[in-house]
Amino acid sequence: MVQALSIFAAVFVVGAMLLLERRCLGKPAVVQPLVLCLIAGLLQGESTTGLWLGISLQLLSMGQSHYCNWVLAAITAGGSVAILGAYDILLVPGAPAAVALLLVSILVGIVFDFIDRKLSFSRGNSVIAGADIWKSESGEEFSRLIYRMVFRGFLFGGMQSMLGVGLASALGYAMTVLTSVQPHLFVQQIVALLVPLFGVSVTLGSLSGRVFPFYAFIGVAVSAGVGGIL
Amino acid sequence: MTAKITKTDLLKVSARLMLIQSAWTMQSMQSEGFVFCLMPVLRKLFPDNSKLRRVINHFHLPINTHPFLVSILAGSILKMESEGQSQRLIISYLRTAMTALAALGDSYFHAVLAFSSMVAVLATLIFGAVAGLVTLLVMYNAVHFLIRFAGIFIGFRKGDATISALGKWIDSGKTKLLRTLTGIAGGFVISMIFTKMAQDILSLFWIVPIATGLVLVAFVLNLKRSLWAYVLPSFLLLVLISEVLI
Repeated sequence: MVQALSIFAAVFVVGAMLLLERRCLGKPAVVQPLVLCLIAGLLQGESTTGLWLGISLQLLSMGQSHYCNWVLAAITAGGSVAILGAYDILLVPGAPAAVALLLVSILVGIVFDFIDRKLSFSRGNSVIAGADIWKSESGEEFSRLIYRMVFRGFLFGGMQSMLGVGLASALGYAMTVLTSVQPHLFVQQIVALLVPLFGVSVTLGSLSGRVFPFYAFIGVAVSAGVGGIL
Repeated sequence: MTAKITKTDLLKVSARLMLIQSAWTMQSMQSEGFVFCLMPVLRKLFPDNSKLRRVINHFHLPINTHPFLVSILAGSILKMESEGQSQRLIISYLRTAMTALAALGDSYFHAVLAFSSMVAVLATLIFGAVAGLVTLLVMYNAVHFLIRFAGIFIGFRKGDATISALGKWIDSGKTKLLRTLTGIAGGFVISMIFTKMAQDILSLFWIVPIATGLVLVAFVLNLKRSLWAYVLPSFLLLVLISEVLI
């Protein structure tokens, strides 16, 4: 019980700190999905799973920065890898537990991105309008507002991280228990291959101008040529 | 107005710019954050509170620009304020520059730097996971932090001529060329990795149709960009349900 509580306290603090980068800066610079998942995987000796989750989320996040909070998705995936690893639950790319982590991470990212947008429309606007800082004499009110919003973001981010990691870990554990009898290795390998490939398609599809996927296809053709020669 | 702005003052503004989006709302966007960031220098330039309040109100309009390039805008605005230029000129420059920087930043950081960093990461993964991790962090953030911290000095030195100077370094032609080269390199690296990964489970016969399918899916996603948010979770859910049931 104490161990579980301390893990969730750590998830709250670390998740809140990481989410502050996105919340305050707007564009994640250091907190990239690949970095978070890979570090979590390396810490638990599951670098392949960390890499698989990280690359999939990174490719998706590069393709679509809207509709999903990718930092939260990465914290959820990375945190769950760390927690399940601490309880000796093995994660294999493409296996049900890893797929469950990925699914919950993406869904948590999409849902909280939607809620964040709604809150910035309603609550955020009212907090800032209520502060009435443009009439301030010394400008101190601007600092107070920013620090207040950062603290609010810290608390909200911590709660989001805890909820995401909790859900993903629970589903990951449930899938391990439910599907441990007879693993379908071929299906796992195909899923492990298809998910990052879909990420590649999302990234290519996001390049502005419909001609750009053609350039990538030129690269594919060159690679096929090189492969043929070799 | 005679107060001298030091490098330390500009670095303080640069550090505060890390929090630019903290109070982002649909109404004012980054304006409260922008004033908060400029405050150390504004307070030095205008020690009198009534003057400071008047200057702060120059920025009482929706401000929205790229958060990495905002340091360039902040530097040039501070230069204009320190020279005592008219409110009309400052607001007019602010409106023009923030739009130009937002357009430049989105196309450069999102479509070129993020994508080319990812291609470099995929290429370096053959040396191990840590090599990929370091490549991503260094390649993306070297450019990001350089622009963030040098930007305010460039903006402060060039003043209202900053945007035209910046246009010589990052223009749409160069961005397009980089995007094209990155697209070709990306296709090359990805298909090489895919071939290596797939050769154990699929015959080489399948590789060309799958690569073609990948590009076709990219075309469909280019037409309807939000489609992935339905397709991928549905696919993953389907995999989980079938794994549990079968």
